[in-house]
Amino acid sequence: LNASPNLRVAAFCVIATAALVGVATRLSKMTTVTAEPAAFELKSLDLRVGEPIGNAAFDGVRNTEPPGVRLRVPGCIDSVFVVPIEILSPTAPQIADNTYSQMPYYRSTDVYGGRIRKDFSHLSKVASYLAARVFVDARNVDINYFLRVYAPSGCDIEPAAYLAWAAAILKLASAIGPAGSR
Amino acid sequence: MIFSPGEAMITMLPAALARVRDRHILLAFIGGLAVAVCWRGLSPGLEALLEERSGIGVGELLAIAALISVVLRFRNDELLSPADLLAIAAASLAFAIPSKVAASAPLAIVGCLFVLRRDARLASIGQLLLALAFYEWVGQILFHILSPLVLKAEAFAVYALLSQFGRFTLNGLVIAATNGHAISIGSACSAFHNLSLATLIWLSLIKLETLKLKRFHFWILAAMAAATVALNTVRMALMAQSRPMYEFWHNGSGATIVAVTMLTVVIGIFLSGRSLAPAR
Repeated sequence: LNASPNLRVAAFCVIATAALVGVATRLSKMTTVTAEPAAFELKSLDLRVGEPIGNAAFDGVRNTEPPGVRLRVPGCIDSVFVVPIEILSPTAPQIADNTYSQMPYYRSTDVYGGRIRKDFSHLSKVASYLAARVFVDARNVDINYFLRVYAPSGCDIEPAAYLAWAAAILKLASAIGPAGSR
Repeated sequence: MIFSPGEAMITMLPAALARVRDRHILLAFIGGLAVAVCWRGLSPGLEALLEERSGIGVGELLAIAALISVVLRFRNDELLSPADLLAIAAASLAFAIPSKVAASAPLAIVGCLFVLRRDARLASIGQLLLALAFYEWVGQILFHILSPLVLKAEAFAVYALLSQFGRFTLNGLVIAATNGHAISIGSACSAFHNLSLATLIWLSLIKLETLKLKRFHFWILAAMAAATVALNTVRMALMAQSRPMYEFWHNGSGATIVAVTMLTVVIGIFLSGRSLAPAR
């Protein structure tokens, strides 16, 4: 079945217009867009010791591989550590566990996309990341990292506290901006 | 009668549009995909255009060149049905969105539409679009899903190579030397990305020459893949030797040496494989 000349012209115009609009939309984003995904640099967090993060207080950055935010939490004798981990990296969670599981009696809780993730397998991380990317720019810290919170087993921590710590730290990291734009 | 340039354009435009053929529609589509694929995430400034971080690479350039060469073989033939035209036009709307994921959708949709067509030109366009979509988007998703297994296999290959020359240990994805130096095999180290690039280059070079895929082409692909994996394994083995070696091969000139060598070897295998094929 041959297409009519009018349909051919209409299709050509739609495709050419979409390409031209594509040039315009990309030009309009050029001043802000960088190719590099935002890096989560804990050293750059603008925080002073004692500053509140949710119901906890900032107590410095643990300079290990990977580094983690140390928090003082009411009712906990030992510190809580919040560690940003690249969501698509199959190796980073293992390295974090190797580092932080050296502390006995600590358990970990994963937070991503404003939710606590139980059994956050590699496959569910990839699926969550892809779902998040539909709505959020790929360079945002929020979607490229999940936060693994290492807390002493004896501490009674409300789920809302985990979410508040994660939201506060992500907000501070997002304020720094993508690595390439600084 | 004398026309101003504006008046002449208005007069000539309807006549030009009346002569729109399939090749013009497909060239417009390729223009849209070139914008979408090559213009992702550029830093401000034209100097960024040729940096590694821009979307313009050898693979993309060859694929676009191959697509144009196939489309130019259409001459004035009319092969696209009304349904094809509607599908291509609708899918192309995604080119307007400045997002890599959105831009990959038209490639995948039109690629699937054409890949099984009898006409070798349409089928070739489908194959090229699917290879490009795989390289840009689908392949990366697949890699992220399979990365725990792929990286384990690659770490084992590096360890097996290293153990021929000295004492190394393998713990998960971490390879450690006796001098205390250790490397962790990350996603960016994988040969998977190089393999999908090699496949795109392979298909593009074939389509620049001929529309038909033959058996010897797949032998060439297998050789290209083997060389790519071997070179990447050697690179990681070199990085595992010591900290200075890691810096050189990962962050220094070594990374460029490997990239250029890999590209040269891949294209060299293609060209020599093509000339060695007995009856093409």
